[in-house]
Amino acid sequence: MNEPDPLDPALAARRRDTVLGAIRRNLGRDAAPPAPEFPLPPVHPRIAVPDEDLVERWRRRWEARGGTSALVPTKASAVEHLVAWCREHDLPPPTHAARPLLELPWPADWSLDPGPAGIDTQSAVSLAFAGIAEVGNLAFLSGPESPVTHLFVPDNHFILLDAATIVRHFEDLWQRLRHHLAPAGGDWRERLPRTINFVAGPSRTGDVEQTIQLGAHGPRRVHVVIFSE
Amino acid sequence: MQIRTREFVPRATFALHDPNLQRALAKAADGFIGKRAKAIAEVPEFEALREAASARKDEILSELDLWLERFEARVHALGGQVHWARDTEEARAIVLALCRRAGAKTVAKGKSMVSEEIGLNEALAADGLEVIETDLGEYIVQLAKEPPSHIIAPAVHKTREQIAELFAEHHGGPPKTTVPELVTEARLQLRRKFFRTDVGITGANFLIAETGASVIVTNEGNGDLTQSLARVHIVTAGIEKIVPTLEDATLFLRLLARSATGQDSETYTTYSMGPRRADDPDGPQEYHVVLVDNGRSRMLGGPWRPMLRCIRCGACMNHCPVYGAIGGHAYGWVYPGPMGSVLTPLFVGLDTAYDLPNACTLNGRCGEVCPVKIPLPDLIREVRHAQQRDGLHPPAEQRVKALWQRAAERPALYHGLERLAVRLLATLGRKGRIRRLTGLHAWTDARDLPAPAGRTFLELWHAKGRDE
Repeated sequence: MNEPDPLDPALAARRRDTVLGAIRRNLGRDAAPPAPEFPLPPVHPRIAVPDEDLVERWRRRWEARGGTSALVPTKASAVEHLVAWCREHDLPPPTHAARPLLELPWPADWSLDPGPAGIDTQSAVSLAFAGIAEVGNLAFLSGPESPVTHLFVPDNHFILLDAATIVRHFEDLWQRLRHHLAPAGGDWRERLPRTINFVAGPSRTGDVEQTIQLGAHGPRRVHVVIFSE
Repeated sequence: MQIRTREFVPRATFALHDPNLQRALAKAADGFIGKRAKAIAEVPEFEALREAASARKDEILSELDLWLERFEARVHALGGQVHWARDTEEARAIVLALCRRAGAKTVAKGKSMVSEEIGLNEALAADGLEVIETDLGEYIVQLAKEPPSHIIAPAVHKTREQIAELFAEHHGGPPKTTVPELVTEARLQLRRKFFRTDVGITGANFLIAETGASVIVTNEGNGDLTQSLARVHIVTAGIEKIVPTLEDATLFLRLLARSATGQDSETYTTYSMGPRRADDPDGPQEYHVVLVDNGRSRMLGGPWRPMLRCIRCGACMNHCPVYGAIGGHAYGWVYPGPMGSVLTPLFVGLDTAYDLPNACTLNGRCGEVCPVKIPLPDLIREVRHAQQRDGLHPPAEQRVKALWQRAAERPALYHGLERLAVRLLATLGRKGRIRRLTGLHAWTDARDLPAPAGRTFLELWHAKGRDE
């Protein structure tokens, strides 16, 4: 068998040159235009978010999609709320949690693992990077403090959200992200997490007769506890 | 995927007489159109967003090479790899080689239209790999051994009863009767597979040049689980998916979900940028992006460039009366409806996909709803022109046109024939309607022809002139 290896670097380079060459030929020029550094982000139309109270708007949009939420005064008081919530809704206590949350005063009989979720993981607690009031969803940055499997594997997902991190538009989030990744200057692109994940409620599908059903592959129930400090 | 566009007429005829399909299509059209209209009514800026998106896409396409090179450089910097494929064969070979190198036995797939375009599933299966479609709709059509019939709702042609039978046959146990039972059954079946998959393949709704990100939107979380749990993440994407910045992705995402499902945003939007970092607890160890040309670069050069703006929302087919009557399978390949009537002939040949643009009624609704303002009716007409130039129109049609032309060039003859025709047709009418025309019954079966008044317009006009 003497078939060429499709991953052979010389072959790969030739394919690349052919595709780029074909693009340039069809655009009617010989080489790539001189490459300016990334310009400032373009300004596109936004969707008006007139609400004074972003927390209130965020909750309204979030709950319109099957998610639940509650307001608590402090991060620590979220614990008390979650204990009561699990009891009230007859839910198993979480077994996984984001590392920064381990310091909270959890009940002695809750044992929380900051590692990735496994096939049997029923419930996890995460900390959101931000909320976006425009559509009422949450942003997460993957990393050692925020395993991505916590977002998609458990049946029940609890999320702590700092009210101060709710932004109006996606553009505000991108600005915050760039600053967060490189607070002292430098190239924010070098410090990107593997994923930025947006979550807008429980997993859902409409693939059987257009009937919306929650809990397709991801969490069936997503409960957000908003705290302010 | 097998090209069956030549079977358009028999498949459309079959579809029109399939009661299950007609029931499913009627239900789907109502749902999609209503949900989109409601979502858009809440956004007064929608038209401004469409304008901006259309203009921005044109800008990006005119510098496509630049943004693709930028994207590639970012992916490399993040530890990922970019592969360029000129055609379907190369794209398949690359993905297959990546799977072999990873020693993969199982491949889980998120939804990807490009993977359908390149016939990836068949190629992987032929190499002995187990391929699992994880989008519920794709999973259903995979079990049924059928291609998807809609780009965002692959199993839209199936009724609940048909899905229940399919599940009972493949999963065992008594058939389920309710939607929650069916969804739960699929969840449990697929859950086990997610956790033992070696390679996760997703498509990309967008690729972002400044971050090296591939972006997917899902409601189920399937593409997201797929890439989180596999050792190797492979993205298959057309070269036109590129946008420069995060702000650009936001612009298009504001239009995509509203146009597709009538949501503000899908439940999950995931930006993936390279493989697992050194201290990450989860995520894939390899990240590959396969950029597929397959005729797209050629489309940049001609009148077809606006078609490359397409963000695959499905609004055009949801609003198309032809799609609504015959469903997606009649179109015989990956892309159905109005966008397919332009794309398919360009991908598989003006000849092979002859019937697709010619089935269009040119009612114009697709162009009105397109979020990136692709002039779909104009492009469909342009495909017909190209077919005419290539002499592809059927001989009978060409003869009729030649006859008509000869008559039209002789006004006396033309008006004489016209006078004859309206008098003849008037005698066939009952209460002003013609219910059946011999030889044209396929047309009159579905609707009545208004009977003419018995005199031509010119006759009436002259009569009116004399009266005054």
